[in-house]
Amino acid sequence: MLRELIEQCQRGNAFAQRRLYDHYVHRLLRVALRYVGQEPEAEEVLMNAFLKIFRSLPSFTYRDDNGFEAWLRRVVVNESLLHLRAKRALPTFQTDDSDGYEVATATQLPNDGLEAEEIYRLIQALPTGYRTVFNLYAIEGYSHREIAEQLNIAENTSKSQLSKARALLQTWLLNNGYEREAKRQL
Amino acid sequence: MNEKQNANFDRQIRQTLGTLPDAPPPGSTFDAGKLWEQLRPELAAAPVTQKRIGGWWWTVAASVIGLLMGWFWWDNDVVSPERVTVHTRPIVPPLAVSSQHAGVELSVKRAVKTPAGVVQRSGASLGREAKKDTQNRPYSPTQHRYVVQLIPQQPITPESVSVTSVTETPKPTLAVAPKRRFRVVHENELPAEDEAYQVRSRAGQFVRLGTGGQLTAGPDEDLPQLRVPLSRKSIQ
Repeated sequence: MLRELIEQCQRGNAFAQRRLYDHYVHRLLRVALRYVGQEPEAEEVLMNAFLKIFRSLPSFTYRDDNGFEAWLRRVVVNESLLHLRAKRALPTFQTDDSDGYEVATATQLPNDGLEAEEIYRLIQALPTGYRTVFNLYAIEGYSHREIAEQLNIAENTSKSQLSKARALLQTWLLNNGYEREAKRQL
Repeated sequence: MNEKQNANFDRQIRQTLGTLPDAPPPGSTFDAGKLWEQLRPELAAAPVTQKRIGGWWWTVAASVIGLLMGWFWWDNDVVSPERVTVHTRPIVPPLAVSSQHAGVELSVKRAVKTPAGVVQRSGASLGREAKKDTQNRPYSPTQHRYVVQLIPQQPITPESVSVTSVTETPKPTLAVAPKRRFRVVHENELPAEDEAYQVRSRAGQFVRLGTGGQLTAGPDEDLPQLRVPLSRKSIQ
């Protein structure tokens, strides 16, 4: 079904484009929000991302639904990074600022009962640099080398930013009711 | 915190975020319809064009096919017998003469020597061969031999063979030797030919007029001379 929808979009069918947009817009909005943090900016990112998606869709080769969604997410992530770069929101990490910052405690998240929306909100609240590296590494699955190339930073800087992001997130999680699990882990 | 714990933490975060519903975050003011209304004019301004996969390749392929077909046609050019032109040397003796004379057909056929085992071809390939052959090979009269055959059209009877019964000169029915338009003459022969031509022209077209008395006697004195009187009245 999705394949037919994509093929119709490749032929420029406006109705199919609307259906595809409705199917993915909220999922992609969350991706954009995880990077840019603010909703108006996320809408701008989505606008540019959907334009690119529909214009480059004719050259897209469909394999499966997961592959198509991964491609959509990649487009949104790239647009988000472009947006952050244009806003100079991304800090410049040209020097190796790995300062050995380590988290004192490891927060073990419970397998159930964790509010996904709460985690999502905490990630959005991370500083832009931490958030970007954490999103790219922990959520999207990029390596530190790829992140360093994308953000034009050193690999160690990426590792350092990730470490700090994790520490801050775990601190917030501890402060939001996960102390028991963390203490038990300790 | 070791790497394993970090990886576990990341995995849990990833799995948790994967359970998020396909809806805007709580408290969001995002309006998907409004964004689409902004997006639609942009898409209409730059309509999605179907990518013409391999357009250039199709052009190149068509050109190559055209060239191949042209080459094939040229190589196997079928020329009708009327259009076959065989270039021969100008000093070729008459090749074929056929005439009917009192019921007896006299035909001279040209036989071309062919090497043993070579199958004679016909049509365009033969025409090409002949063309190449005449262009590359110097002409030699010994390469042709002529076979004269007497082919009776009717059973020969003594009466029909008699020459006295022929009353009308038969006309040759076929090929006449082509007129030679040029003749190869050695350079040394040219003055002699000029002289001969001048003498011939003088003798045939001009008449000498004037006083015969002043003529010097020559070896041909006894030849009659044409004398034309100068006064017209004496003629009257």
